[in-house]
Amino acid sequence: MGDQTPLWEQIGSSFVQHYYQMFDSDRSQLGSIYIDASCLTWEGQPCQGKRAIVEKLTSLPFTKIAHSITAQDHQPTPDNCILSMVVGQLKADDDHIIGFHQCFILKNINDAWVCTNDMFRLAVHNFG
Amino acid sequence: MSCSAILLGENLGKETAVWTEIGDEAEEEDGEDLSEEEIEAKLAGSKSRCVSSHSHLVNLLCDWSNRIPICLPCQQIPHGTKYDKKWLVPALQDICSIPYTPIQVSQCMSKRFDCSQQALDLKSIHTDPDLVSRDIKVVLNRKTNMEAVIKIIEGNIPQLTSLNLSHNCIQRLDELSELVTKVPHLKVLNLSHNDLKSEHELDKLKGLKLVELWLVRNPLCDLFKDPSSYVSAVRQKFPRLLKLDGNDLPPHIGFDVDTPTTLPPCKGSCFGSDDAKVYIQRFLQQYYSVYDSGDRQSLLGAYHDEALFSLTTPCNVQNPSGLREYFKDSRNLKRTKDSTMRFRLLKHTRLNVVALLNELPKTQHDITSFTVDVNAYTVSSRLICHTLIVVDDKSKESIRAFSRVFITVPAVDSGLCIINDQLFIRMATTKEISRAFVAPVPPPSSSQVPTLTAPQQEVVSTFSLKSGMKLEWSLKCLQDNEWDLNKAAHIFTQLKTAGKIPDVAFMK
Repeated sequence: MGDQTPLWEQIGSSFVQHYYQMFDSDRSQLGSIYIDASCLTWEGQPCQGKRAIVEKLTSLPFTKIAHSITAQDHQPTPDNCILSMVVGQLKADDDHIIGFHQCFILKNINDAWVCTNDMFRLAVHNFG
Repeated sequence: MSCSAILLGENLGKETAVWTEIGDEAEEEDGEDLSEEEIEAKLAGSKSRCVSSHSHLVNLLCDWSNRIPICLPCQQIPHGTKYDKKWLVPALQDICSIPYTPIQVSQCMSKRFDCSQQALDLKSIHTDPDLVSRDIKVVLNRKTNMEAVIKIIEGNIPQLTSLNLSHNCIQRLDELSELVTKVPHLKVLNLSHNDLKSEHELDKLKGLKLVELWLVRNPLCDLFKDPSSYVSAVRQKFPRLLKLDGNDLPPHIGFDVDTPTTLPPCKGSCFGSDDAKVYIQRFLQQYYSVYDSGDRQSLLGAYHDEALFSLTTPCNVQNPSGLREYFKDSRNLKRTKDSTMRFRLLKHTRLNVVALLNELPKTQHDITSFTVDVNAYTVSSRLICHTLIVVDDKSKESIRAFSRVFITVPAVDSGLCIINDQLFIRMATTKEISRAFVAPVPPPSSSQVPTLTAPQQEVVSTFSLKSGMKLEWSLKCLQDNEWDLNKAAHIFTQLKTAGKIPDVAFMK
């Protein structure tokens, strides 16, 4: 096996990099990575489909956002998709730095990797 | 001429015991000649009782069928010596419209029936001396023979709980699938030393609530790569199984719909649907209670054969000790490419996964801390993304958070089976800590509650030394008295003099 990075890790990490770069700069462009069958669960709220997802993300109440990735992990799934998990911190506008946890399922459709499932959580427990 | 009555009884009405009046002639083999018609008439109509002089085996068999007491000695068809069996048997068969088995088989089976255990031993029945001596071959790998045997069981002992069919060259279980409906209380089944070629044969018996199964010495056993995949394949078909081939199986993660679980509400979680919610909450509850139990071996049942597991944990210089127990191999640290040092392990196949899980520190999770998100990812698989607060059993100081993702597929026993598992372990945030373990978690025998500050711990130790009480009792006393050491000491002395403090509170 050697030190060669497995394919799923390469794809996963380049996706993650691309995703957060786009998110931090202009998140309205994020539609390109989702398809109509994609599902997003954002802090417990579900959205389905490319349009709904982009709407949700662009309507989030901050203008500036910066993500910093603490760790990421990628695994292949039995049906040749990739499960990616990201843990990191973000800072929105002038808020405090908050931890977050996000996971993606990436699928290869027509030679392009798209995101079919996306689940995002802030690292603060909602007890209330 | 009656002992086929037990089988003919069905034809003639169950209440009718067709017994000829044997009377004193019972012992004599030579009666008068009866014509064919007379025999038929006797079979068709008479209702008489069997003479109790043949009671030596009646008692044994009254339980077998409490409708029709059977008398075995009469199994020699009286007057039969005058008539060739070859003629009589077909004659009887003509009268009786149901498939007919010579009474000897039924007799033989009844000898092998243990009423006290509700157990029937049909091991090697084709070599049974009683049958062989009469030229009767009951070869259970033949459909008709097996069907007949099952019919006898169904008709006489449907409450059977244990059945031994070993050493019978059985190749297929098609006929045995009748047992699922006809003998529903069957718990113990021995199919060892037979000729079953594939585990799919066992699918025909699904629905039997087997607790003990013997399969050893069947060709199907050799098809498994390793013992645990054999065990788990069998367990998937029979979820209640406790013993396989004589070996006790570890308790199984059950997904019984019958057992209710009380789960605290997961606030803010998104399950996708209410059905999924109950299902998945139960799965997580069971998973983590095994995870916390100290032996994670039975998690094997929760994972798919080809499961993948990876564990990631950050290691930064500021807090090197907190996650140390999760670093097994320092070689890996040097190999990681990230600038933030990171430790990762990736395990493939369920055996490796559970082996690794068993080596991780013992934990206790806070069940109120779950946040769970579920997405359907294909028609049947689920993506379960969850976070929970976990305390390491040994060093109560470090409270961690698991951020974990499962991809699950449906398991054969209508449970869930994990095929991908990604775990990220980090130290909990202060906010998470302050909210953790708010609901009292029963403390393990001798250690302190995790949320104590250092000064508090000191007070508890002092109090414990002075009072002689164990730490958790000292803690309770202090907590009950607002951490006022003097007040607590006063109350303690009062209670002690009054003899109200149990012995178990004191350190030995």
